[in-house]
Amino acid sequence: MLAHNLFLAWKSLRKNPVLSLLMIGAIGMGIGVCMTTLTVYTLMSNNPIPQKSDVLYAVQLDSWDPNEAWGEPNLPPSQLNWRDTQALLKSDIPKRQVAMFRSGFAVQEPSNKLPAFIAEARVTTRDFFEMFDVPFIYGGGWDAPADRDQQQLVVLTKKTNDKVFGGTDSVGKTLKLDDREFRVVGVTEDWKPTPKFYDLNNGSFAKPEELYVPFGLIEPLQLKSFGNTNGWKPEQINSFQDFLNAEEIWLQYWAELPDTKTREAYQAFIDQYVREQKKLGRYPRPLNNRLTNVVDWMKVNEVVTEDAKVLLGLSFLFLAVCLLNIVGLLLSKFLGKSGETALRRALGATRLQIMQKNLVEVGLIGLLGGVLGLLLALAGLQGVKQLYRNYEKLVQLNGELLLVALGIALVSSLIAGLYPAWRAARLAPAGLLKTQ
Amino acid sequence: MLQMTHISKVFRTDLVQTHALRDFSLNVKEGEFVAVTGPSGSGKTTFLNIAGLLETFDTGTYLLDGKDVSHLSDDSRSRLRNEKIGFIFQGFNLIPDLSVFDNVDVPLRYRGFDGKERRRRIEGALEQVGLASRAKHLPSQLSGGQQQRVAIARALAGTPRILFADEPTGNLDSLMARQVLEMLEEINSSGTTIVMVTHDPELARRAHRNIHVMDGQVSDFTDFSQASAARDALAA
Amino acid sequence: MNLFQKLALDAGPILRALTRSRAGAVLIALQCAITLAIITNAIFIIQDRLKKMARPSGVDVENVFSMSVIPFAPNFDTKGSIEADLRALRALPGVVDAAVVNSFPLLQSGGSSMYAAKPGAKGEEYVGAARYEVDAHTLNTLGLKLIAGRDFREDEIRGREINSQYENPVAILTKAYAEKMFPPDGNAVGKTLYDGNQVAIPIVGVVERAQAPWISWGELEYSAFFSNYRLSFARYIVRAAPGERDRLMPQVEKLLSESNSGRLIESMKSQTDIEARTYGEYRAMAIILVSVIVLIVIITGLGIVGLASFNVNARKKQIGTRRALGAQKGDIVRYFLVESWLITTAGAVIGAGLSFGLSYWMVNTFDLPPLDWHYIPVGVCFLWVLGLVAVLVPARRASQLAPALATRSV
Repeated sequence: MLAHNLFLAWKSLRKNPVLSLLMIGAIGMGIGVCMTTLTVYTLMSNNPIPQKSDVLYAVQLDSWDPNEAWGEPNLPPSQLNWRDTQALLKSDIPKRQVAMFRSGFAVQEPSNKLPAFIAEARVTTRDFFEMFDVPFIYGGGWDAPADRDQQQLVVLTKKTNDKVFGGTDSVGKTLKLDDREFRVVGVTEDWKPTPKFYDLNNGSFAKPEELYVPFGLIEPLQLKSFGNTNGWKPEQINSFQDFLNAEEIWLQYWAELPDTKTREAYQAFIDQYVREQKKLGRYPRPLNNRLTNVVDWMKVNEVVTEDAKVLLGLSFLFLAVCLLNIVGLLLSKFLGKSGETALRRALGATRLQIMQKNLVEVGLIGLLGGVLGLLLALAGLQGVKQLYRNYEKLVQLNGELLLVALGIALVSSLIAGLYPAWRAARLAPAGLLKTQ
Repeated sequence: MLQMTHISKVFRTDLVQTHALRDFSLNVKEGEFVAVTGPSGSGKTTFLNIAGLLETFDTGTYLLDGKDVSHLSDDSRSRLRNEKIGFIFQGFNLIPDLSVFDNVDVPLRYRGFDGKERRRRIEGALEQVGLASRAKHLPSQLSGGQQQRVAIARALAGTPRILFADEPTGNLDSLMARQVLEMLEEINSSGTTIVMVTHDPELARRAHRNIHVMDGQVSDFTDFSQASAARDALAA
Repeated sequence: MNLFQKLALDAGPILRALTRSRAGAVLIALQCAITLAIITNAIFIIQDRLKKMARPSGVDVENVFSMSVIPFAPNFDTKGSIEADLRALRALPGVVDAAVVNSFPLLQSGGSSMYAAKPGAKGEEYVGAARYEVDAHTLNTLGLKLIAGRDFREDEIRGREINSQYENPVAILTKAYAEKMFPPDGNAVGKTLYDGNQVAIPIVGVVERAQAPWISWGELEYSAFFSNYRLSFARYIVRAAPGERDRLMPQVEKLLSESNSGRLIESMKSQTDIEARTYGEYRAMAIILVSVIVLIVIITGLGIVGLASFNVNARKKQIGTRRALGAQKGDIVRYFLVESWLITTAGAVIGAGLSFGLSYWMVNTFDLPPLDWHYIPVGVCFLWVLGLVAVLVPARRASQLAPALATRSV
């Protein structure tokens, strides 16, 4: 019966090619536009580290201006100053914790054959790699002392290792960063968390850094932030040491807190720390320290842009227009064929059978529309890629979205077809056999 | 009133030419009630379409109310239909979404009458067909006979000089058919020329004159005017 | 009787006919309503973005280009290198001027600080401004227009390390910032600006306009220039003679990378590129919204065409009858036009409400200004035109139907 209905549906589509194309085109455009914005939206709100997103917490201490919150509504700053990170790092409550910032070096390979180039670097404590599940090809991270002492060690990303060492196992080899010798201890696999949740300061979809160096180098090498530095307090800063001791915030801080108990203990710890600092005249604002997990962190930092949300909203309205359009056209089509329908009813077709026949036709339109919509979505995503240069990683259709597209197409066209199919099935068998 | 001389009309398709009318001549005088009869395919509908200015013809001349309408533009033909001709169709041809009132109103609006004049005419016409109380009804709420009376009211509201009726009782049962026919006779007696196409000889006999069409030509005349005059005299 | 009167006359019975049936008409009206809501709000956002993109940055966009300078060799003589580089750049034929800066308008990277107009000011008396740390050639290189006071003098310029205090700085403010700090006339020249550390900075000049580096920043027009340039994270800016920029850019890159191996020259870009990149998301949003509008107009237009075509088919007999009763071809076309106009008008009425509803949602959910009511009548007119144009072809087809259809038993 389905096969026969499909055959009838196909014949019916062929009979009115313009009308059929109009309907397929309408649903295709609706799906295409929706899928484009939905893809961007889902990838923007993608959980970059699903296996650990509920145990990783961004640490915020409200060290900001007594007169004005960092952000509304009463948000503590998203970064920490140097002094506080030093104090927090001493805690052994978190399973792992990381203090870090973005910097950069001029890189020279040992033989000096390549011209020097600038590489962005993450200056971080060692837990970074295990905490964020960074995969290694060769070697691994550095040992704990490197986070405190001057040890010129470096972890390269695959890209940098390919560039400098031709992709060979470079562990133990040296290269120059800002004209100083660094020893390679590990090479990571390509690792591109999208969004770049652990440091959202310079674009949520910024490229990951190209190498990693130990946190212990900040003081001896006077490493400067390539990222954002913010301050609120007028302070005399005449040296790097002054800068480190200032209230200027420039470091990201994350803690891995595997269960509620640990999290509560850690919250108590940071609150206690801030209370002590208040006694020293720091922290003029009311206690407002936060631990925020990855998913909430992305929400707080508005990783999904307003534009993406506006476009998603508009595109679903667009789909609604397309569906109304199809309802209208289907109604025209089915009622236009009322003679045929009446004949079928007179020959013994039940209402249900007429309805089935019509819905198969609608489903076929939906399916074809869905396929067209997918093609349009691919084109749309290409367009988005051209328009938003930073979002290249965002614009890939994956299998899941593919199914979603076809699903939306089929379901929405069936919903759109329900009313016309029912109207047509409801026609009295007798009346329409006569001439008008 | 209606003067056709040597009219011919050919329908061409890729394969065949059909002479719907050939060398068709007919003269209908003012105030006459003429019935055109003939088997289906004889050309009587083509005659009606041409006479009613719904279709053009290939050769010959046609004077309507003394005016040569052979070479008029589409718009002038519309104008003439609107002002001088009334139509009554077999299928009533009422517009289903419009009320009785609005249906009668249709040709009056094309005529460009103002609102007051239109209302006066519509009410008068509906009065005349006995449907004044049904003005707000939709066609689907009326019986077949009532619908045809609405159609007659629509034809009369513009005070046409000539009325064309195409099988006016074809879709009606005999009782309603008689009412409609009586109404047509009444209209005719007040001076409006009527040309009625029918295949029903019974009906045709009520006209003053019968014209039998065969193969696109007038094949026979029967004049009942004497008889009917006699009948009228008897009735009186 | 003129056309308008005729149209108005037709409306009554058409409207009555429409209210009696035609789920199709309701669907089209709803479609028009949502279309209107989308179009008005989208155009409003587009207008908003275009307006923002059209604001001049103050820079001679066509002729300026810039690059980062990254010294990396230990004990590198940064100051000497910067001075030598700038001398070499200014000597290049085709170069109008060259300068060293920490940032410039629309770069998307830079710094801001709070300043007050009097010593010992309280917290709320401080007002933030983009902080440009520059040399005496900067105004000329960027092409900024001095409207009061004077430019920096060479003897006022110092090079300073990142974590150090200003050394005898003087300042030049933008007009907008000067007016904010010294109301009402913004007469700032000769007055003094105080930073958070109570350093007094004499103001020597006012420029007409120089935007901040970030477009998302609240006070885009508040900027201040200081006569201390920075030795680290420095950028060179170059102003080329008209038409010379594209020739100069590769030449400058080559010259600088060959002249000194202790520092790197990075991300050489024209100001045109930089501003385009800064406004990239605005532009993208505008383009996407335009595409959405075009598509939705096509869809709705085709929907109207589809419904009208169906109606023409379904009403063949009716049209023939109307013709038989004296309707001219124009009357038939007019019938469909008026019908379409009525449907789109119904849609427009619902759509006007929907437009504000959508705007209300967006204002509440996002940081968007509320819809300006002017967009509604414009959108409605557009919808009318769309409805009339879309129905024209089916209406003409209807008018070509033979009057003789009336006597045919279909």
